[in-house]
Amino acid sequence: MACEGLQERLIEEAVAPGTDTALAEHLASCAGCRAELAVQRELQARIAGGLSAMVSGEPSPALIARVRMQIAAEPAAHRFGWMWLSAGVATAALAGFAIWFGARYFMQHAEPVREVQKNVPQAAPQQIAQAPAIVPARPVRNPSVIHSVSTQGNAGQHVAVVIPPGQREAVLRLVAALRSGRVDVAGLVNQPPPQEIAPLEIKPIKILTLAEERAAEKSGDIHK
Amino acid sequence: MQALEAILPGSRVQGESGTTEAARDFEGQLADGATLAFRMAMSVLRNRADAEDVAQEALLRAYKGFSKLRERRAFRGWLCRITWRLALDRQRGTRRRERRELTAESGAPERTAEQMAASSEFERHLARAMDELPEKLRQALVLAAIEGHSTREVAELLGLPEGTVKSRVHLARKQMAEKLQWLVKDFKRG
Repeated sequence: MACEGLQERLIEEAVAPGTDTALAEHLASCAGCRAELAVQRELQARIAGGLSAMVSGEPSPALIARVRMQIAAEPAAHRFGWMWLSAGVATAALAGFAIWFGARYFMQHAEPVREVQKNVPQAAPQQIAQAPAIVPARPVRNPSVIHSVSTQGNAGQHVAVVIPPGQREAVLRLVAALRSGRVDVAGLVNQPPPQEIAPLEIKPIKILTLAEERAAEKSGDIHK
Repeated sequence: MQALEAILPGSRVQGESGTTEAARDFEGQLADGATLAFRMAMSVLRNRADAEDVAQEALLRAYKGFSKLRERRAFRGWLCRITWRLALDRQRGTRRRERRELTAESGAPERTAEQMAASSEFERHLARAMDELPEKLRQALVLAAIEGHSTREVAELLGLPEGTVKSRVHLARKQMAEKLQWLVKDFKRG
């Protein structure tokens, strides 16, 4: 066996002696490799010694005393921890109640709007389109002054419309008229199609000077 | 020295025999556990003050979870794992701080007299080689070195088969030797 390339096997032999029989045979006849193995064993011994020295120290007696004191203080810390947790939960509950109460207060004051929106049936947009006089053309900006009027629809549906306060009286009169039958509802709904628009007739324009205009004014031609 | 039960009246007041029993068991393992935790921390940090801090923290954490530990026999292994993790965290933090200081001061960080005395040339190289080992190998090597633990004891501490531990320790020693080969020349000269 050649000595070159035996370095790794010598390290292995130093770490775990007696595992490589072929190497053992070579070592018996090679003084150089035996010397190299001795060096590797010394290195292993120094590594083991260094490691052992590194982890053989004793902790100071104060360590155990400190641990005991810390453990003794631990239940108190736990109590305070629970106190903080309880305070947090109470604050969160209070905040939740405040939000709920505020939302409920707001909803109560915005009741007309909510009711109107709730009562409007699916067919409402179509009906509103057929009754332009009832529905305000412009969106109402201040919901707090909205009034609602509701009546029975043609198909027995509950119809609701939103009107501004200024038109409330007129709408109520219209509703009463509709109920009394004095207004032809069918006539309102089935209005005849608009007449065809006649083509625009372009008349020639006569341009006058200032003097001609005055003269025309005097004679009264300009108004004709 | 005042026993843990004497300074833990809370556990008795609660009237929970389990808590008291846990406190008694923990007290029984405290001295041994403190040494084990300190040595493990020392193998990573190589500084007494830091190692004691870590050991203290590890023991406190172990106490907090002690009553939940089903097998009290597993305490030592459990403590080892807590200590190891805390020590590595502390080491990373220390290194980050040292790097920051090094950048800020553009010079080597000052070492304490204790550190200087403890770190001979060989020990410093040994420590560096250990730090370069993969964590699993390093942990097995350290535990095998502490109090001369046998392979079986290390296997119990790590919760691993003996064969795995044996293989890891062997590999760790071999890698250490390979990392320190350049020192062999000094031995030959000497």
